[in-house]
Amino acid sequence: MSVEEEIQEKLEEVKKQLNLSLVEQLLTNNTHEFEVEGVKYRVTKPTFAQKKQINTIKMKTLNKLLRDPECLFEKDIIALLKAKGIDIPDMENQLKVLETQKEKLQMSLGEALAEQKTESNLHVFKEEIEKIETKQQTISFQKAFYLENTIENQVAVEIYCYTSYLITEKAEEESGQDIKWAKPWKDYDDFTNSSEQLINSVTFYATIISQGNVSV
Amino acid sequence: MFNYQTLNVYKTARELSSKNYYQVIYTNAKEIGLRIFENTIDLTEIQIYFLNYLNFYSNLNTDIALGDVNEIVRDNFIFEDAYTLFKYKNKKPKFSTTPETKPNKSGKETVRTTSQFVFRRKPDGE
Repeated sequence: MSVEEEIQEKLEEVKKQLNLSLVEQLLTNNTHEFEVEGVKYRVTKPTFAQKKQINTIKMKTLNKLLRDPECLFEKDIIALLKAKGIDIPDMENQLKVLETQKEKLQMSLGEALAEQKTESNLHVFKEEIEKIETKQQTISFQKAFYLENTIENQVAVEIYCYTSYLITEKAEEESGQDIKWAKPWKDYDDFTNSSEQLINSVTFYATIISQGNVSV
Repeated sequence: MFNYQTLNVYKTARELSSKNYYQVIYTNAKEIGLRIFENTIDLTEIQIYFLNYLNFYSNLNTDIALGDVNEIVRDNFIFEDAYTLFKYKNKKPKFSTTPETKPNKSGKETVRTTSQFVFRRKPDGE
């Protein structure tokens, strides 16, 4: 192994350890503290009152997008794409077929494992499953790309941004163990005008902490 | 330092749940009520996902210990998922929930009402 390869391997290992430690921290509680540009922030799982506020924003965003003739629902975009030769329902069918094929292979592999077959036998199945997963990922990425600008997707993005704004707090005063937390921004516009680094960090942590608790 | 785009949080959480450290905590949480998270209620989705995988690996480790499957199953996620899927799709109930039927002399089917358990008569005076 060359020196470059060795360094690359060590860097990968350090990155993996950092990722493990970050996820470990995210699992500890339903609130997460982090630092951006020397300032301490925290995100907390949304309360009932916050969820109600998020729902109001969802309605407002949807009503605003409905008035815009440039914005289209998923079904309308699918019809437009079909006219251009891009078949989304066909992509969905392909995904279903691949999933069935994958499950059959998984069952055969599972049986081989239960019967304690040789390692080479097992790896044949594994490689086939990996090929199917790669195909599934390619189709899923294509589908997501074509449907990125639907009304449904834009509403979801707005909800995640607003949730991030709502559930983030900033450390104001620190006296010993006690920290006084306060809202970091005057309003939502102030949040959207923050630095990209802060917005990226806040949305990342807020999305993980609030996932499954906000109806998109 | 972190690349948010490439970090797969759920995959990493699954990896953590398979570690011996968390498996020990999970076993103790079940047996003596040791806490896994700082919050006891209001779990986040990723915490629930982590709990599911703690259980998944606990079952897998039990099967390895019982010799139902070789340790190679822990080599990668594909092996683990395939074995678990196969195991649950082929799972048979330990005790049949439907009564056994047996034809009698007249040719009609009768339901056998044998018990799964043997009850011994208590000695007199008890």
